[in-house]
Amino acid sequence: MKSTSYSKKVLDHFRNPRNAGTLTGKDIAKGTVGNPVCGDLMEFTLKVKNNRIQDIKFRFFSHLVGKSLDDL
Amino acid sequence: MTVYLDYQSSKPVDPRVVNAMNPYFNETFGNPSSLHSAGDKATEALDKSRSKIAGLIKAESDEIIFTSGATESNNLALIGYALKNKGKGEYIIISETEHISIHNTAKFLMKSGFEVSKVPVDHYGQVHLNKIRERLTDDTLLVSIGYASNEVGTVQPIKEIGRLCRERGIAFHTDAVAAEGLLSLDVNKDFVDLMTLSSNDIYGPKGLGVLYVRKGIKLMPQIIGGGQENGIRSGTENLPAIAGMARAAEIVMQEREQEAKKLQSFRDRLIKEILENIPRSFLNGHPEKRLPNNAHFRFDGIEGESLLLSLNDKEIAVSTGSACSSKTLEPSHTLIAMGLLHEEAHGSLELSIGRFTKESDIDSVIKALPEVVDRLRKLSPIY
Repeated sequence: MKSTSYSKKVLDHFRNPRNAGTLTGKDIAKGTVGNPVCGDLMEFTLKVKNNRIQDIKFRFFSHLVGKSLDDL
Repeated sequence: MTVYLDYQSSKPVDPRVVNAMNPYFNETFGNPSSLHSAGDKATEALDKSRSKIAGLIKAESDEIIFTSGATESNNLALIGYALKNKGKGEYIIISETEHISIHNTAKFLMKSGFEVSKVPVDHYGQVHLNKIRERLTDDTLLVSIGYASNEVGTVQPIKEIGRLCRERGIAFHTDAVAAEGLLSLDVNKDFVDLMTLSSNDIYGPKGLGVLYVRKGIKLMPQIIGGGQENGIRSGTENLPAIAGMARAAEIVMQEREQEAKKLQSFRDRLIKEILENIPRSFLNGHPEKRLPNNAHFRFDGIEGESLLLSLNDKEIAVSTGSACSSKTLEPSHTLIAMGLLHEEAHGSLELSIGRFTKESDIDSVIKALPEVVDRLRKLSPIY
């Protein structure tokens, strides 16, 4: 896609990603969605305590980075 | 100032070309088909221009057909030749890495009853002569192999392919758009029967192309009208553009060698320093048999569009073979044909330089790229 066809908000998230990275330690769950073959893969790590999400981080290999972030 | 490293997609028109075009908008604006003096002046300019452009590829003036661009030239070469010479056979050979206008024209011909075979390329994107030879049959009509890859810059063994086709009495077409202005082209030495050229690719205006048609080669016209261009391509000639392309060809003939040398030194610096400075980075295409203006890379673990947008934020314009840069959402067919995995093709970056590239542009991208790659890799789950 052309850079100009993404919204400002999406581009802002692309430039300054929130919650990027990986969580480690106790009570961590990990999930991935997508496939690098198609050019979009996201990985989430969640810290869950008492059935509540305490923290969330993600990494990506994707052209839909910003869009995915926006969806969060 | 934007650092523009996407010359393969579009080139600026050389200011000297703009000057050469100027008189043909409202001074010498006659129609070459008219019989009055204004028409004569236009005819004179048309003839002179045609002869200069013919000189660029060592052709004769009357072997140059003006079209609206390289896409039309490729259409005219393949469809025009196939339809006119149907009796000689119905088998057409192209390669896996041809420009999309060749691929889709071949697809159209398949629907019209022709058979098309795509020869594979090696890991460097090169076509091998024996792969063509083993496919040649008695009813092979036409072989069309691009002079050099517009994407990864690999140069094909055109003279060998041309000689093989000539020996077997098969017509040979080459789309020379990526190579024109950079390599020395000679339709006789290379045994070429049909050659596609584009005006913009030698810093002329867009909207003009050329099909070289060797004497004796017959084509079925694809645009019917008043019979201009020897009846092969009707329509009033685009004289300002033609005069511009002629000036552009003249500049190439005078400056090509020197310019190619400069570009090659920039290219070699890009390749050396980027591969040195960025771990798990690779060069796509042939290390030596490549165009002097092309440096094509892939980086493990990152995706091309993120790379393109990040560089765009730093005012550096580049290109990628990643899926999202294409209308089909498929990664580059050239990279896949070269044996790259889809995830590898997604991480590709094409830097193409040209006449107005400065040393400082090379410095900028060499400085910016490691930071950008490093940042995206830190965010990547597969690095």
